[in-house]
Amino acid sequence: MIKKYEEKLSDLISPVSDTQPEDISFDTLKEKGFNWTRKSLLSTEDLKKEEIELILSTAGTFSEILTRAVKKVPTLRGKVVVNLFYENSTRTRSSFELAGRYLSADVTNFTVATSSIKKGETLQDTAQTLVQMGADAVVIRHPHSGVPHQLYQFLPREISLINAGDGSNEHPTQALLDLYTMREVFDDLKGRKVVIVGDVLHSRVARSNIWLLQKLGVDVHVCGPPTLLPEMFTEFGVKIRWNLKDAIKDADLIMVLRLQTERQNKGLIPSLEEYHRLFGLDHEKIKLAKKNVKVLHPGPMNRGVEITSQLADDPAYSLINKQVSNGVAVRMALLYLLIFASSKG
Amino acid sequence: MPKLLIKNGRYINPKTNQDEILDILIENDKIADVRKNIELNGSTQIIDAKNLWVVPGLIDIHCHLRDPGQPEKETIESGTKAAARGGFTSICPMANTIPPIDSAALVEYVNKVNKKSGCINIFQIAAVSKGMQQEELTPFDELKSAGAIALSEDGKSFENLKLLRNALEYARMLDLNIVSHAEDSKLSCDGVVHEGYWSHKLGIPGIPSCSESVCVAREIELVRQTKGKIHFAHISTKEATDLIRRAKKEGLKVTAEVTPHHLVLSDEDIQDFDPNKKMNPPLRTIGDQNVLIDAVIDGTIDVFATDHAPHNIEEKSKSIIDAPFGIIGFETALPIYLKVFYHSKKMNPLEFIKKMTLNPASTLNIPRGSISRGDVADIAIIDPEYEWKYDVNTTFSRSKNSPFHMNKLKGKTIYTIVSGNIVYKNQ
Repeated sequence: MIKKYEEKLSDLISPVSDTQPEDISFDTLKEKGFNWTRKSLLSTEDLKKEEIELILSTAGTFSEILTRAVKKVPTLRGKVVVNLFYENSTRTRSSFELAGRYLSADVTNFTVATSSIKKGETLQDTAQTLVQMGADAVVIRHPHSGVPHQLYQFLPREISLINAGDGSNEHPTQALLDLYTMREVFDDLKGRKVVIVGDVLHSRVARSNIWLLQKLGVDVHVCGPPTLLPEMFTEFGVKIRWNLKDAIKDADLIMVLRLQTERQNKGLIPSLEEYHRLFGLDHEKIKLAKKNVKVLHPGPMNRGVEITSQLADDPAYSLINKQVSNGVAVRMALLYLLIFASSKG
Repeated sequence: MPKLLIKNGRYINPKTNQDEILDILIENDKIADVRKNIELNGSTQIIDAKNLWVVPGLIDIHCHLRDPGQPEKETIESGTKAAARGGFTSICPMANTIPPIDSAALVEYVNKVNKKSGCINIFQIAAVSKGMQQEELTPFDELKSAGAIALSEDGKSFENLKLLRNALEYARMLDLNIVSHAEDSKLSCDGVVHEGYWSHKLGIPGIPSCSESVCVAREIELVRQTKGKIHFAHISTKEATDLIRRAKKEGLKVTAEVTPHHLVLSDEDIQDFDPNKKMNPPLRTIGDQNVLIDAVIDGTIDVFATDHAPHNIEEKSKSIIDAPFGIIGFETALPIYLKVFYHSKKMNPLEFIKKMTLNPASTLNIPRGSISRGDVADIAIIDPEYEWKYDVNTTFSRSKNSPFHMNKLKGKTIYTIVSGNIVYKNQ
């Protein structure tokens, strides 16, 4: 259904194109009965299947730009993207920054250390500032769950709000780039077994992936010690495993989560060594999975804790580098789709 | 002082088990007469209370007035005005002010300020330990003589059980009640909402039910040991309720209260991450709600409280993690309790009013809660059918942290009378 749309999109990002992004519109999709109206992305939970497919296909088209000598197209010329980061995150921030710049948007960074946020400015005041600055899209990262939802209440609907990770709640763009990366390996993920290993309790990446993958019929298993994986998670439709060796039997994909080292100080695990022995992924344990199993990690890695260096660097298994470049493509797709949604909605 | 005559009202007085149409005559600050068809001429002010309930002034034994220390949140003046609007004629503010109420001088300060700027009675609750540091006991007898009605470390749990044991024994000598905020701070850890389906779903740190119940269990054992008296504040879980029910059956001197929000809101409501739904104890499950409602009806829970806890907008608009715990409650408590227990036909008016008047009075030995002849004329006149919308911007409190903003409510206080004076009249 989105073939015609993809053709038009390629036309738009051709280096010699004089097509205006507005010209593409979403009419080609509308003709097929699909109306893209989404302005903001706060969670993967409320994404519809068609929306997911459109994001992935747009990212697929945009990914070509990253291979060019001149990585720049005029698609978002004149648009302002504000990275509103209340938490240090070089990776996600840079990924959004590059995604915006490759599409010619003006990208500016608001970070805690350099702004009035630290002086206790309220979210409502921050929202006003963003409006006055003429932001077209705001990318927010916050250490506390739900803050993007709170900010959303104060922003006019024309401004696109993108959740770049809030506390332990969600990290929807990470899940979408993970999905994009998995789909490069398997055309159809339905019935595939994906095992998420690690500190599920505190992981926004795990939550966003659980909601997203289940929509596509993935058989999601989660694995970790009970202190980091509450039994309540069975109510979310995933299968819980405390034993990694059992969990990864017949796995098609394994997603390893970062273990924050302070979990030990908080008494949630006895030691990093024991954690590594029980839940650290290595060449030995991965033999129990399917032969062509692949490994993902959202980064940054604690090498030797949740995954061995040898495995992380083994191209036969690791998709970790692919995730990084795919992240830029997926974020380009999202900026494009969300910013232009309303004008054609 | 002129006379005040309340005519044709439905007189509900749990102390004498009376629920009938009677007139009340007030002279000076006392109730001079209660009978049918009182006729008087001359300088008598008359209130027609036809179709209204005339009840003892409501008593709230759990609130926070932030005075001294945090006038940006509440003062005795603003707090008592908000309470009067809710039908309360007597309230018991907790001791966790800045500084905490841990000396006779501070109890006297509150009473002096209330005399000057407050409009209803305050029966202050004093701290159990000096500075609420849980190391040394406060001077219980001095505090009592200065007017303190009970002792509590509310806002904090009893981490030091030896101190609590001593407090229970010493307070027994003075017939003072200890009010317990039952929570194990280590189990609560960095939690801000109920630990369960929704905290895990949303990735918000949770407060487990056992944080409350383990404290209730160990404090009940101290009551057994000391023969002292504990009143459990804001009970929120099934597990704690079961423990209290069992302790009461054994004849131990424990009592318990509930708050309005734990009866009508649950952890499902935190999906919007609204800091106005952040309180301690947190909103529990629908299952807990039903257990609490049953426990009110079977008498395990004795008292309807408010846990009125004002916080200003700047603080309450932070993230759900950073925002302080608590919501205001004086103005919405009555209609919410009416909805859950009276309009749902779970209780008759006499049983209902008892939980807001006679029971709180007898729990903490407050010399109020009855409107018989000779009693102090503290009266609330209530229209249980009055339909209105709660606009928090109209609140008399200095804070607006209510999850009930723009809720449709049924039941309202029409007059609040303290010592024969009308201190609130519905406009």
